[in-house]
Amino acid sequence: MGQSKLRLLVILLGALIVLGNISSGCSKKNPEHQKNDRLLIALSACDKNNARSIALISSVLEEAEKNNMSIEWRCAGGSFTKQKEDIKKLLELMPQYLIIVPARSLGLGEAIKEANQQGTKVILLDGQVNDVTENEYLCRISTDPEWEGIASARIIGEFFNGKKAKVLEIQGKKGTSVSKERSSGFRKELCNYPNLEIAGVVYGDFDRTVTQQNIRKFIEAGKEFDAIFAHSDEEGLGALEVLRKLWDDEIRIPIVSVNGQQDVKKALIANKYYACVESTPYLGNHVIHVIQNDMCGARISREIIVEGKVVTRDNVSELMGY
Amino acid sequence: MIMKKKSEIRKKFLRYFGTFSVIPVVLFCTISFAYISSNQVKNKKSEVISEMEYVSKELDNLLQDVYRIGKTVSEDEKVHQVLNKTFSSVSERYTYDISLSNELSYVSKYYNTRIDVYIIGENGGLYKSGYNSFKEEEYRDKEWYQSIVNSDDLVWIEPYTGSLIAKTLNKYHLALGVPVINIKTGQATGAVVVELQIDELINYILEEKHGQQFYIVVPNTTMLIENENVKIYEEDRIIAIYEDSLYAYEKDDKKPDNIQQTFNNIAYWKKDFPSKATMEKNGYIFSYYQFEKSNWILVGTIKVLQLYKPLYNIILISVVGTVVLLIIAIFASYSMSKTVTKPILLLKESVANVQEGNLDVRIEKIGNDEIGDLSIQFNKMVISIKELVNRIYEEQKKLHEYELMLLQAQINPHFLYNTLDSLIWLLRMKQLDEAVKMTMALTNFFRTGLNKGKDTISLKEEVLNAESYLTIQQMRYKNKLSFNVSMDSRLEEFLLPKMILQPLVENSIYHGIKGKPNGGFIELKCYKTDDRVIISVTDNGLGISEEQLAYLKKQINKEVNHNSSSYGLINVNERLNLFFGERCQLKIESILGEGTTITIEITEGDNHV
Repeated sequence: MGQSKLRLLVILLGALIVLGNISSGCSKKNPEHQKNDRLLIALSACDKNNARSIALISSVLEEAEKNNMSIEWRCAGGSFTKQKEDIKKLLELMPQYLIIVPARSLGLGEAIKEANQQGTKVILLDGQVNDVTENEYLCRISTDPEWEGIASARIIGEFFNGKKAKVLEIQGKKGTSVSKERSSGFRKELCNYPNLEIAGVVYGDFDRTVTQQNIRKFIEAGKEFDAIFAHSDEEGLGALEVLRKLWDDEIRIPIVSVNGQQDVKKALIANKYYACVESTPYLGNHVIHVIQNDMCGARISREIIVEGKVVTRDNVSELMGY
Repeated sequence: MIMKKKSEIRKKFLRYFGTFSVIPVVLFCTISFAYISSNQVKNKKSEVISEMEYVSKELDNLLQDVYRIGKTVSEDEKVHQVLNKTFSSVSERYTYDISLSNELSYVSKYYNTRIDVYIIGENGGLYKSGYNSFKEEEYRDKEWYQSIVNSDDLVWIEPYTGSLIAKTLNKYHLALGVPVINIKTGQATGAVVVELQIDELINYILEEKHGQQFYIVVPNTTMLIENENVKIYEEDRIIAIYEDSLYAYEKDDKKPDNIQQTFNNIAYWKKDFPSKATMEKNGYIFSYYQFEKSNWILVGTIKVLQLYKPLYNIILISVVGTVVLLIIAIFASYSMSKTVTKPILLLKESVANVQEGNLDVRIEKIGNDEIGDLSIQFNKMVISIKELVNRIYEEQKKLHEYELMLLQAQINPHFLYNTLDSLIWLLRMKQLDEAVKMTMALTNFFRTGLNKGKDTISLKEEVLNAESYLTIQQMRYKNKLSFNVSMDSRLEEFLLPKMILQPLVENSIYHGIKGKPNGGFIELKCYKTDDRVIISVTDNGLGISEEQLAYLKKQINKEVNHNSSSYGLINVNERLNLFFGERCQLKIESILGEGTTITIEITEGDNHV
């Protein structure tokens, strides 16, 4: 067969493949958002299974909308693996900024590097990622879990005022940076109160029902405690329910938790709760502020820490109660 | 006469190859397409129906859970107690809020996480099973709340976006409202709202790939008595699930065709039809499912044409595939016909060249097949023809030369002069009889020699020619020459080239008898032995020496070139060879001083080679 015939055959087969591809619709389409003139930002949320997460996500969505930004978001439902997939899918949309509420402090480095490679700036929100360098993200906006732990220890320390007491610590999910930092701050501060000691640690997974089950087990094991420090309101409210049933609706020990959600506000008003360290979820305005400043070329702080507030029965009206 | 148009072999090949390659291609593509498309449509239809069943069952199970939870919670004693309570303070109300909410939290755990229970008390109490916070609105003023507490029965709230009660990021919900009635007073003390989050289901519906559209039909037929007449109000609604929104169509709204069709069908579905069925009507496939605990009907519609949509790609691929295969088939047919016919055409062209006389045509070997062999055979044939033609040419050339010489010999001026001179003398001498005899002999000699221009002559005429010549010479040389001619009468019509014998007898006279003082005798004999014709000319002249005889034989056998003295004999031999081929042999025998015999032996057969 001559060379020209061979060439003709190759051209024909090539045409067939091209037509086949067209017919099967495998050509890549531009993401719709590229047509949109609005700035596209993406949000990868860790979960939306508690009031705080909902308030946090809502705050970012509302602020973005308010500032005429287009936002695409995905929720990992607490799954680290899913969050990595979410980030990949969000990056396919070529957003200018990617906001990550990390499900875990380790393992997202690779995804963040990918974002950097395609020119998407990363903002870490309400959490920490340890396997990235500072240059790999634009800014980290967070509350201060360590301070929240310290503040909680102080509240309990002041409550007992030198009297000996045992504190039961209810930690959130094992391995999360928030839990580690809150616990670290709490224990560090507790050293200043020699009268106080840790009665034990119970894991509540930031969940009311799980906490109830684990506290019951703790009590049934004959262990005693004089105060409760819960890493989250959900865990504090779970503990409250166990003690309410145990002591016939009378709460005899102080319960202190971090967050400041609606139910805790009610419990404070109902005099069933001692104090709450508010860890505001309304970080959306900070995120948008950072984006706007960055777009104007302003210098961005690598870390923005939004301070919390101690709320007791005395100043309960100041609690937003999301 | 109508000339039939000559068809080219190449076109024939192309036609046959084309036909036999195109038909299978077209048949294959058509059958494949028919098979794939029929399966595709069948599968697609069954997928669409399965999808509908999956969505229906999933939603029905959830609705049944919602129903059970709603009934259980609304009948719960503690719920009744709390809702009947009048709170003395916010603190007290919140205490109950927390405790009842904590107890309700187990509902979500034990049932489906997509189900949230909310209780709204007339006393201001707000209770919930999940982690979502309340919206902090006055729910008791809401229309949906009023419809629940004012109802005697369960109230299904059609799908809506957002949540009625909680702060949530979930998009789509539906709800069941159950009034909580104080048994003593008969008054509603609050409402249990079981809210079902249907994001996953709706996302599934929206993401499904078959193009089926789902609607929730809310049949709402009320019977009222107006002016003592029964009036039926059909206020059916259809909730269409679109991307990013839900839309409720009322009966009188302007609506898309498939929704209008669904409306038209509601009347049938509301009656005695089975709880689920699939039907094909007006170009649509309708599947409907009547939920067990609600009067809602889930409807899935798809245009029948939609089932054929995936075939567009198959059609496109088939058409493109068929066209490409056809092009390849035609291309292959063309190449094949060209490959096959090219050497044939080359052969044809070469044969035409040969026909036109070009015998230098050669075909380069075309492949190792039969046609290649044919080309070799053709070349051999052309070479043979060329050789043959050359040989014939040469032979013809020689023949013409010999004939020319023969003619020259015939009209030998010496012979003619001498004969005419002798004739004059005879006439002067008044020997008229002799003169007449010589004249007749000369006439016979020329008549038989010319032979009307023919090259061949019967032996009888040839002998007469030789005899005439001998007669003339005998009259010229008087008593010096005597001769005898004998011939087998069977050989009279035997054909041979003319002027064969005259040169032989001339040689006998001039080289044998003439030099003999006493003259000589020449005998010409024609006879037959077995299958051979023998013609011999014998003289008793001077004879030939052995050396000369050997040299003469070599000349006859073409081993050496002939000289002018032997030219007559060589001429005769050549002409006999040209005429009879190898069937004829010329022999020469001679003894010096005794004489010479020239014998021509011809084996019988076709006279001419």
